[in-house]
Amino acid sequence: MAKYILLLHEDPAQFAHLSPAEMQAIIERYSEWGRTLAEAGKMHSGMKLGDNGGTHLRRRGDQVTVTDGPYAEAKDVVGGLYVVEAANDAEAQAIAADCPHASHGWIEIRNVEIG
Amino acid sequence: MSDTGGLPPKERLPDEVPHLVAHLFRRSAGAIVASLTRRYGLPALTRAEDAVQDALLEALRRWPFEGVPREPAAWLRTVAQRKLLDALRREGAHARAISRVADAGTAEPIDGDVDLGGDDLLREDVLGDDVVGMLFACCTPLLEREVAVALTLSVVAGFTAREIGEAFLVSERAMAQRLVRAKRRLRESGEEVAIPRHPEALEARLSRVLQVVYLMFNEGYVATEGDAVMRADLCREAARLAVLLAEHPVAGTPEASALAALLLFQLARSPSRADAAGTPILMEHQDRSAWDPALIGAAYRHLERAGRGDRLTSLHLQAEIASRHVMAAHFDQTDWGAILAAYDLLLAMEPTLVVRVNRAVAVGRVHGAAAAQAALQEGDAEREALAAGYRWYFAVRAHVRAEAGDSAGASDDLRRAAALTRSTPLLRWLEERHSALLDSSA
Repeated sequence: MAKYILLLHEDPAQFAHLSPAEMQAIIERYSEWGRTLAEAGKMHSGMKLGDNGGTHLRRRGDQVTVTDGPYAEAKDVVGGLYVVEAANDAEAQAIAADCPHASHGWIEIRNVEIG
Repeated sequence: MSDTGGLPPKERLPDEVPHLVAHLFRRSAGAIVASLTRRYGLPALTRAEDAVQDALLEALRRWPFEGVPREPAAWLRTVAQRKLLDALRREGAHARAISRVADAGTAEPIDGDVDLGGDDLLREDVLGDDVVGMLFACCTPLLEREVAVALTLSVVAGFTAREIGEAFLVSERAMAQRLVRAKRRLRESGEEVAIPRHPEALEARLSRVLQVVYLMFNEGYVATEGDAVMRADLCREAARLAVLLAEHPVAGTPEASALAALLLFQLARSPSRADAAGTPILMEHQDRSAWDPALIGAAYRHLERAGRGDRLTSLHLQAEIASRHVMAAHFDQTDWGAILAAYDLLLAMEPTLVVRVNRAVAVGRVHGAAAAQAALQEGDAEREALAAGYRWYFAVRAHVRAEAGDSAGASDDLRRAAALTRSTPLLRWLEERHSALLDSSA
């Protein structure tokens, strides 16, 4: 088993006009997916990232520059991430394909390299 | 809850989180808006709605990663209240809100961090009060009853303009505008989110509240067009509000119990009222085993409580009629005599076309087709039915005429009923009855 990180890209504005009932339905789909993975021992953890887009830091010689990350109105922000266990790339992709997020944005799959 | 079986506690799954109860978000939205508005006053209504929407959105963004919190409803409440206070503070309206709360004699420290640990916002009986209080405010006589229905669905029940529009066959935009106007009038009305204290004021407003809830139910029950799921939700929500009123220590009058009983009886029968395609099924052909026994049991309990009053209201009679239908194990065992007696009283109380037509059905069962025909001719029923576009008058008269052997008249009436109908399943049903009539008279 190897660890994979699923980075969840989304447009944060897309959820603004959902009704309460629709929001609940979406949460239930995510919960169900997470529950199924956890029961199979394949869910490691999940984290929500802040909506402010974060900051970018670079050092050039002695000079450190910090710039804002994507603005709040950006259409593509990493909203959160999951760490899952999968035997290989194909399984990681299958897990991501089942994730409800695939309908609300797109998923970047990165494997954690084992040294 | 996920089934952890015999697992020792430490081996429980990390994601063992509560399942969300059905309609939690929608109902929490209504309950929290009611709580916050009761506390900060109707001028804060729109801000409270925004705060609740933001809290739901935050849950949507966080819970998929963090899991559903142990007490989801309390979580939403805490976050919504914090967001409302932030908004009030930002707008400088905070001071006004504090003075308002102080004026109302319920001064509480609301500056700084909000402590909601032992807050009365989380107590169930207080929540019931909030929702009932908001229902009373939405049913102000300043708003037409139909507008009050839409407003109640939005503010108390957490439906969006799009969802309400679907039920009312109105565009989302038109419904949103209607709601904005209604909320403005409500804010400017000087109403309180409260249950009137004076018995006379309470009685007058409660009677309006019951009418609005009744209308809300009918909006979902009688309509044959619009989204079916949405209409079923509307009926359930109206029944829930009726039960909430009936069980409330102040609002729970015998008439409120009668409404709760009526709506629960109707709701219990609703799964068998139409087939999968939406075509209506007549009572005599309905599958009685599909009627919901839990709802029927609750309906009888409310009917019993309704009988404790000293006043017989229209709602009592309608609940009585509904109970007589449910009581019969088979259609043949229906006590039509008792139903007709109730309709006689109801017609005297409410001489409306709908009551007249329904009573005529009972007359036909007790006294035969000729008597039913006479009952349908009483007053100026036919002209009234035409003016109101009430197709059931003609559908019922077609049935009665066919029984009396007047096939031509029946055929004529079915055509008239069809001319007043736009819904496809209903048209199909009328056509089927028409061809059955032609077959039998051929």
